[in-house]
Amino acid sequence: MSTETEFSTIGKRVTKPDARDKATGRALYATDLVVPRMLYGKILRSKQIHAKIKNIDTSRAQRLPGVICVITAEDTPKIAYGFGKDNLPLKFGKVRSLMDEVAAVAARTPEIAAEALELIEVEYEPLREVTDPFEALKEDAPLIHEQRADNLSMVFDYVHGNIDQGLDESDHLVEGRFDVQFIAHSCLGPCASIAEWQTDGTLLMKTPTQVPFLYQRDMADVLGIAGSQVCVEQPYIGGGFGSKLDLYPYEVIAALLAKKAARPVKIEYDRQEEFLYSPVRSPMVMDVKTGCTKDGQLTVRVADIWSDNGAYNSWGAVTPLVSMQTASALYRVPHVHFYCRIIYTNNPYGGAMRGFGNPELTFAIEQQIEELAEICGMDPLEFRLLNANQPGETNLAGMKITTCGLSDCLNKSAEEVDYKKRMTEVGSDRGVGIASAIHVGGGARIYPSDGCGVIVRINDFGKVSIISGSTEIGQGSDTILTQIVAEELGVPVDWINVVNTDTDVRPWDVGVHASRTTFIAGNAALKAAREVKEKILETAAEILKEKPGKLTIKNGEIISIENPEKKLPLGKAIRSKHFRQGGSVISGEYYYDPPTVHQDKEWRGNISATYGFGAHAVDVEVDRETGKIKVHKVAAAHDVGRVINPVGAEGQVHGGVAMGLGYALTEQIQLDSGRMLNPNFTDYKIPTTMDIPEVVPIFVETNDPEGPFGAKGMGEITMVPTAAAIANAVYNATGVRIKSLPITPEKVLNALKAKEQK
Amino acid sequence: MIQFEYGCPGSLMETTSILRNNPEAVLLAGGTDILVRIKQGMIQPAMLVDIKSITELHGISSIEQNGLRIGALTTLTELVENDLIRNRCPVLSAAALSMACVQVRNRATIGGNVANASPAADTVPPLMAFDAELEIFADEDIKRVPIGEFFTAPGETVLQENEILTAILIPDTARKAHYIKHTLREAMDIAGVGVCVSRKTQGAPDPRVVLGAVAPTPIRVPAAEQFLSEGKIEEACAAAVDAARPIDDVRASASYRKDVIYPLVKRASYAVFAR
Amino acid sequence: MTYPIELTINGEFIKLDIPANWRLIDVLRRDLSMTGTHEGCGEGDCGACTVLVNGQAVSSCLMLAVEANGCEIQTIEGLADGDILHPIQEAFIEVGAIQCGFCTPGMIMTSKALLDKHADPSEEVIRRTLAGNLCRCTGYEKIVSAVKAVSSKLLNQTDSIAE
Repeated sequence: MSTETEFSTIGKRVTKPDARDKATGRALYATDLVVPRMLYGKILRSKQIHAKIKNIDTSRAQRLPGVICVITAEDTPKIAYGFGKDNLPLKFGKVRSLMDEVAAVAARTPEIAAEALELIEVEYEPLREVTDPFEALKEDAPLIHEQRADNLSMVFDYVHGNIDQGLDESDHLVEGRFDVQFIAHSCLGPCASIAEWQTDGTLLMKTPTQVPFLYQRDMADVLGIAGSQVCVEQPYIGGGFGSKLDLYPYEVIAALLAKKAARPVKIEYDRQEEFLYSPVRSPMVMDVKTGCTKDGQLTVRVADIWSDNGAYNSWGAVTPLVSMQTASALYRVPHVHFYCRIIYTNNPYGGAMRGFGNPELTFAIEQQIEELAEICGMDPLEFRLLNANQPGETNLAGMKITTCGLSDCLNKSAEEVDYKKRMTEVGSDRGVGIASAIHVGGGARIYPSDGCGVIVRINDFGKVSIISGSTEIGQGSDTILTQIVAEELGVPVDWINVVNTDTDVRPWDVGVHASRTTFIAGNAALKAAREVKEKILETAAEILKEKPGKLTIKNGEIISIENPEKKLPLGKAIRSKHFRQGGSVISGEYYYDPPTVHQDKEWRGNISATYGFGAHAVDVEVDRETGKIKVHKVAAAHDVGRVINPVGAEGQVHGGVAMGLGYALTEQIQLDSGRMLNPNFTDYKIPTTMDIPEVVPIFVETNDPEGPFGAKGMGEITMVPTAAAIANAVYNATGVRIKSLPITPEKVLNALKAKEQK
Repeated sequence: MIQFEYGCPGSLMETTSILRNNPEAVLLAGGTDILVRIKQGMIQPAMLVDIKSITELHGISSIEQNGLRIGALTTLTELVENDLIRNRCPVLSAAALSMACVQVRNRATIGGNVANASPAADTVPPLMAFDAELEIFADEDIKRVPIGEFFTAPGETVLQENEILTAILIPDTARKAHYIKHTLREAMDIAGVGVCVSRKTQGAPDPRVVLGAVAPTPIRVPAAEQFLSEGKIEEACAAAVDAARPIDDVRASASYRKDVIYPLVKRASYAVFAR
Repeated sequence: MTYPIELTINGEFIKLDIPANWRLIDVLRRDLSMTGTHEGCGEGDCGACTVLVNGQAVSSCLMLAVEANGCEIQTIEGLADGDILHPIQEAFIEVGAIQCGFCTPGMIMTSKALLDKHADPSEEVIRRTLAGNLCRCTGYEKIVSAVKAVSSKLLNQTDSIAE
């Protein structure tokens, strides 16, 4: 590997290859696509939150001119899918939430399809509903899934260390209940898919999934066909953030309609549907206990959690997979007990969302860190530094901390807001707060595989194609792969093209999640490029009559290291392989699966090849009369291993902080009896340009030995600590601790009033 | 969106005759509110009558000594940018700027904002704080209604079918006013509570205290005005709190709305009465 | 029933017969296959569908096509001059203001309306003007920087002409 000073593109502000399409309006998103003979599908949702379906009469809808077909569960294979196999694309016999799909129509125009939905008559027999997870666990609670004994979908439970010992060794113990809210991904691009059955019986899905290869299998299973019969093509994706990590009923319904109609069918959501019918970030209630010795060493941590899973198990059901790492690995804690119940209710069901269980528990843990620091009479920053993870440690959960820049992140972010001085200032409405985070940075072995394949091929003219299983969702992974390959191959970035075709062409990948693409796909691309480089140099060596080891490639030209006047244009070397008997294509491929293990039954095992660390320090002002919080500054320091592209890295920080601010202050899906009351961008309040304070990205480069050019993943961690840091700053400013998200003016004002009355 | 017909009359007379013949017709001005309501299925008009070609509904002009006439089709952007408004009634510019986004302000009209009768309409508290009158075309004639008598309930006004709001009149702009819009977000938000306080710039202050989003219609609080004219700001704030009848909704709880009226009225009062 | 309308879209004169309930965005996306204008919410809350109507930024989801009769419309597709991108497009690419890109056309069109009117807007004005253009990816920082970069570039050009 070259040293830093020699890098030609790593660390440079390379522009995104997709940006030109996007800036000119030429990028095609799924919503933009139209194919010949295409029909428009629409889905009838349940009008009841919990009910038996007595009868569905579609006859009037069938007769509406322009309607091609109408389907209900009766027209489907009724194969359950999802975690726990508890969901059907079209519900049969029973509905369990207002998201539930009851029937679907394919028609010539979207208007006709919508009109047809109005003509479908569904007879329900209402059942008792339960929308409170605590109520749902009671013995007399109505069963969401009647074949189960109760509404407890899953439990995640481990004890690492010895809790009694931890409690005994604690001089100080803090306990508290924290709660976090339902939120929505709010991707700007609404969901849309086109399903088209080919004459060979293959289903072609044009769909914005984040997991095209897992999707193939899931779609095949639910349709009762072979995985080889599903081909996935991803158009430009208008935002992911985890929302497209699963196969969703609307996509299966598009396929079912297309099959019945024998024509391509497109299903497209409008914003209201996007809010009402997309999976959410599930809320959690967390009883957390943390202990420390009198000199501030953490001794014990207990997290007892209730998660409102909604009616079905999608990715939301397994968010504790990451929360449990927050519990075991955010700071060094010798004794940890984690217990989380995933509870079925009649609410909207949870999907994956950026940070995946981590911002939730970090909100609690990082507030208790400050409570303990205060009891110990220590500066919270010093308290954190004392307990910060260190390189070379393996924790009780088996997580191997290799490179770790947490202390640097803490110090640098704190410095940016003048934390030490500001922390002790009293009598103002301003306050500072800080919070740290750890997140997987070297993939995450959630599945038996955490691999990604990349093929690098170079053509007659020296143009390089990267064919990768990885998925660009706007985060800039294609740019990163381009830079890694350009650096390794010694060609300019504009000689490189990332080919985004379909699953028939691209090599396998788990998907874009767990902040894994830079690390996993990056390593695969690096090693595929290395193979290509070796082949090129071998060929060039023949021509230049030089040993391959004495040659290198710079700026698209092969040169002799010792005699720089000896050189050969790249294309010429390639052509010499093409224009000969027994020649070959110059290509390389690599399947990178990181050196990690699946966690065992006790939830131990090194799930990621490296871990990312970060700390956000914030400066806030609280209006004591209205409770309103103004954030003046966020300093966000992250150990990213190495910055491959500063533009992309900064973009992840700015975007993650913005999402963290929304989570902290303004965003909340408001539900009344399972019905979302605010399904629009006026009342579901993601931050606007006016809501974003000064954000200072700070990068700590620890040059991870396993990462491509030393890089770690960083997509999710940027949103993780923001809410906790703000809560801590609000406490610093006012003396009230808000343990519930979002931190609304009303909660702050009520807390201030309660404090005054004491 | 449901189907409807479209009419584009050139005069008020023509408009009223279309309305007479089409009882299911609805007037279309900027459309930023009505098209959303149609999309959401809240209304199903058979016809939209686009009044934007009617010239007398446009324009901002001075009247009498200190007055202003603001055509009903004046856009929010015009309220923000027009020199007459900016110089003589800056609080109205500020209120307009606090609304929605530039794309919507370029289309949305002051007449629409008033006639839609949202309790949270941002132009209304300032207009009430200036004793604005509404010019209404009715029975081929023009009548004037004080804005305080215009609203009857959320979304309801005294405007009869066949009547058209043609202009907003501010009889005397010689007032100093301050509007505070309390929201969760810094933009693209609807007032959780709106407070406007004004006073005459010369002579006795004759204050106005107007609250938005805390009752079925925007309300004036005469008791608070009386206290303010006596220089009793704290008492005025308490009177405003007493007068409010807020509800719980997705934007704020009733109790929180009550809680913030006091500080907001105080701040607006200090802003207006500060030397 | 349909209504005849005449529009000039990116300099091209177009005559259409459309139903009254067709919005401007429907004409652009469905009639004319101009899919660069995106529909993010359909209610004027997100700005993704922003186009310029007679030079003013407008949500094309909140304007009926019949209302646009006789108007001059500019969309993202008309901004570049052949292969030569508009300075705002260049700046968005260079600065890194684009992630998923769904909000980008609307962002650029709103920015254009602003810069056409004020060559040198303050950051406060840029932020307020773009407040109705939601973005979930970028946290807005690079978008605001891009607009600032164009405005200083435009100013420099004007200066050099003046000199």
